[in-house]
Amino acid sequence: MKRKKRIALIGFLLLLVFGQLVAQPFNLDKNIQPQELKMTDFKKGDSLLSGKISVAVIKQVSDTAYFFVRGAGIYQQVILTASNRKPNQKLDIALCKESWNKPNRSGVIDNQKAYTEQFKTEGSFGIRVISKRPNPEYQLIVWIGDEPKKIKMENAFANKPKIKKP
Amino acid sequence: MKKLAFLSILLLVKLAAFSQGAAIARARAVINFIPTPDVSSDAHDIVVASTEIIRDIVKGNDIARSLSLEECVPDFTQDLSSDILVSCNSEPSCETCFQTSFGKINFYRRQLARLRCIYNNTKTFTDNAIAFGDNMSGIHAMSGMRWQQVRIDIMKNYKTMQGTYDRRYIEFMGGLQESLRELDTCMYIAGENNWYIKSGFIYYEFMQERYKRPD
Repeated sequence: MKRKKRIALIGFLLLLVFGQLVAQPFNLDKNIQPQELKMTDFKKGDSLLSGKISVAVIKQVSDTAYFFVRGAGIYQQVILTASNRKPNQKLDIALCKESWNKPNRSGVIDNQKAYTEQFKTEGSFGIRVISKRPNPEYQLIVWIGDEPKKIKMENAFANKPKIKKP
Repeated sequence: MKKLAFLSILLLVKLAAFSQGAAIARARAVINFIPTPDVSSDAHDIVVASTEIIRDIVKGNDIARSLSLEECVPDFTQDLSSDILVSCNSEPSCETCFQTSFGKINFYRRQLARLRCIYNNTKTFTDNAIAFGDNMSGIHAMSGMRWQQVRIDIMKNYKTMQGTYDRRYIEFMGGLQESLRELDTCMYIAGENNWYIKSGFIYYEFMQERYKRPD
């Protein structure tokens, strides 16, 4: 068990080795200064919801805001929801992995309609929010589930009962 | 005259720094993090609502795609089980032996798959970052100089990552071999002698090649 715990930390250590440079979509533009959405422990021990969460109310002061989230693992689920806190407000939201200019997923938050995405990814990812109206206000919720103790995988081998001869 | 020229240059540099700082300040957003244990907060409803959204999604669907199509995702959908034609005849110790060894083998399969995906994703990211930086750095001399230092750091970290991968690979393959030996013992209990020599080593060598670092 100790060995398994040690090995389980290795994934985290591998990320730390490259953590500094892969914490966000890569860019050399000094005007893009993504802000980190810090994750905190959430519902530890709960069979469904145990993981980490970031719940943030955001008042945007520019037309485009950039955020990033760290600490996701390829076996962990990530759920992101974004919704308006002001009426008649339309926001373009994009999720970016490699580059801010090439969003991997995107959507629109429009009045009562919330934007929700569910995915898996290793390490970190970026969130870009664009508003055409000044001073938008919205909330972002990011949840990263704990790694499941059992992952659905076929056994490499199986033992089957002998066929009994009549 | 020289003093005036120096002061002019100093003023221009300071103005440039100020406008850059102002641009960066303008680009930021004001974030108010809601502490989830804080039930007295006005934003408690947000926390409750978000919990319900997450619960509904997690209950309804546990299969999620990767964020990026270029991202490596471990694939365990292929059924690799083979007909071994051994039976425990409901012997509890035999069943336990198999369950334990299968569990260990699956653990190392999972870790090897994770290791490879982390490495592949990092390699893809590094290649894209180097290509992007090489293309963009030529636009301005100052960017070029800064990029060279960043490039050295990226390559240095990548080399470290390669070393870490190799060490973890050796450790995981050792664990996998140990687990296969344990399975060999279970096979012996079930009446199948020398299973590892006949079949197990083929699987080990397959995994050895599959997860060896490609570069």
